[in-house]
Amino acid sequence: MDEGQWCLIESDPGVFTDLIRNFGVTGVQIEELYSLDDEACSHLKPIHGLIFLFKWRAGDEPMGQPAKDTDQIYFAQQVITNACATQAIINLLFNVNHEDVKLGQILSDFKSFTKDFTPADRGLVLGNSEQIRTVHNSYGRTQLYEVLQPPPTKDDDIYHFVAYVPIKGKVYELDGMRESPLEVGVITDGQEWMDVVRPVINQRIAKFSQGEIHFNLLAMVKDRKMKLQEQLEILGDAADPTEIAHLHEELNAEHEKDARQKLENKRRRHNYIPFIVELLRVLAKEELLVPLVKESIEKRRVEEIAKKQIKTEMKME
Amino acid sequence: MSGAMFANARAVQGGSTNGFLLEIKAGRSNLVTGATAEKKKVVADKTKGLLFIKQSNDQLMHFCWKNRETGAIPDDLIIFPGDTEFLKVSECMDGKVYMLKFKTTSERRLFWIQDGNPDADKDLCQKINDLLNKPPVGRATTRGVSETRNPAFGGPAGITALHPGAEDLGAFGGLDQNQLMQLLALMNQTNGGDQPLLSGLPSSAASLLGQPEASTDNTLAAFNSSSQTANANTLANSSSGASKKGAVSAAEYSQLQSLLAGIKIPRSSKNCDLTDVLKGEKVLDVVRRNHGNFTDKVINVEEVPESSTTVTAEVEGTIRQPQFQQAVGMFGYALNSGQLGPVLQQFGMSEEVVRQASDGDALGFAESLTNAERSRAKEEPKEGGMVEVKVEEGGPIEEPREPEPKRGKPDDEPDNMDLD
Repeated sequence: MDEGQWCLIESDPGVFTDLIRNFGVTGVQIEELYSLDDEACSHLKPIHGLIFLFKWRAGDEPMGQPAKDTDQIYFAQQVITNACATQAIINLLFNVNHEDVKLGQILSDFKSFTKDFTPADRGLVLGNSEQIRTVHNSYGRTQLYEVLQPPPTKDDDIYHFVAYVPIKGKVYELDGMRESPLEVGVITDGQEWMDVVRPVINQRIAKFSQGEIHFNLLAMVKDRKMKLQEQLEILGDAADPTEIAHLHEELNAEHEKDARQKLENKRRRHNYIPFIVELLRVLAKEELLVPLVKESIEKRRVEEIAKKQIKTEMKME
Repeated sequence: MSGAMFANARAVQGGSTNGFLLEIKAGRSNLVTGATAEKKKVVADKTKGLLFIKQSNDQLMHFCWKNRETGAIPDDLIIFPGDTEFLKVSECMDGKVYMLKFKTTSERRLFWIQDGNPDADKDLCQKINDLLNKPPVGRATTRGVSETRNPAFGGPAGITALHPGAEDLGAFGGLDQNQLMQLLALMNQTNGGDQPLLSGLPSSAASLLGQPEASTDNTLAAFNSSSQTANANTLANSSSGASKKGAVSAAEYSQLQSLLAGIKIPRSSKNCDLTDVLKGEKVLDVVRRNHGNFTDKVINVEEVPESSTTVTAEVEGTIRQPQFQQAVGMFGYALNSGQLGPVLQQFGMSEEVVRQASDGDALGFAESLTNAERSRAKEEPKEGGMVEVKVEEGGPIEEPREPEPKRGKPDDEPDNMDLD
């Protein structure tokens, strides 16, 4: 990766989990949420914060008030292109006060170094932290070269990550593109912070046009294996064997998920060019390449004609 | 511009305005004490040089002097608007001498024009003062990042230099933005050797402009994108290429960039969709039959001992993997746009195959590759005589050597142990 560049990062729980582990953070992992209903996410508790990814549009009305107690909040503005995944993670993590969560050397250093800086300066320092950038960039896809990239089309929209996090009885939205954190709600007695953030995010999702699924929601939760181990310890040997068996099952599932994510991340970094070239070669050797290519060209031609016909029909109407 | 990848969004926008905004052949001059303490003498250094101004992708203005004899850039000064004034030293009668004067300090930099063209320095003062004091506003700013703030100070050296043991640097919190940046710029200067620490990056437009012919070197560097040397070369090539074209303003650059971004490859009848070709049962059967050819071209599953997957499963699963399909899409794009030739050359493909690929002719490529494989089969009639091609030898086409994060590995293990 070129000097100073930050690559795009795929919004995937496996990538994010691996990313924070490689920063040296322990005690948390990232899970994708498909629903904000309490039932759907209760097993993941404690949920330390949410990372919301959506199609960024200029001039979106802020939902919430600029935060007043900014000295209680760690907030870094984004000044570097493409850094927003790491940006959102850092904004979230640095506001989590939980005994389980250990930042590790890289991020602890960064936090203490920037604690008295302005949000903009924190963003600058982040953009120039080589250690953090190196970890971030290791998730970029292997690319041929920028000259070889297809030009961006209008369909390639800009996506953006923001973090939602509870801090001292209030819920904040931390968006590196804004001037300050936004207070989106107050946690009243007997309420959980997820109850406060749920309507905020639901409202936001509702704003996207129907049928559009261009957002996703990641939750920073307690390390699942750690949680399950703790539960097993608390239960002890005297507990209901079916309950213990169930926990073991869940633990196994976590291990399997870990392995699967590791494979995926390895594939993300893999250079497939030698495979492709070899595949073309054997296809050629087996006299299959020419027919396949012809088939594809023909298919394209038919599609083009179909498209033109649709256009003409539309004009006729 | 802030982007995050979602699903298959694949655009990477280089946020840089690269290329020199101004350049002129000039040498350095030194001020030495003259006959009396008040009088100073300007003494020209004969070294051939180039004075240039560039804006790095963080939008900071760099005032640089390059030694044309060695290629080194001993001066790379980050100039903030209002900090400096560029003047003609009219007292100097022999030769054209100019001075960069810092307003807040007594620092002065002197230069003498080496360009033979008498008009080379026409309006030089105005041009330089405009660039340094009213830098072009980049296009990469987004709402919430105000345009006047000059975000970021570029190179990685600054913070990392401050970083070790940076536990208690609370005092820095009292610095304002400019002071902080100047401090870091200073550290950059003392930190570096001859290399410019804050060099800009070639945007795709700049690279294209610099090397319209998309030379072999450039494209090959593609396959080596993590290799420092190749990158440095590409970088150097494209910036020198751009500089040959003379000064291009940042505004013009961004215009060109959006123009280039809009260019679509003509939908030629020779184009095919490679992602369509390399999928399906037929192709999978071929992979299965030639399993041995691919075992060393997939990820090393043994490095993920937790997973119970096997090499066989990985080989057979590859063509269904989204990561593979994405790579095929990119490869196909390169093929259709005639950029694949040099790459195939690296894989030892014949001239005819390379030529067809360079024409962006997918069918011609397929046909010539088939012919080549046919004649190769004749030469080696043995069953299974698939030649192991010199894929691994070239180096540049091997798996890019990204610094792999150490995952649960002892810290003292050298990084290069990760490789294969």
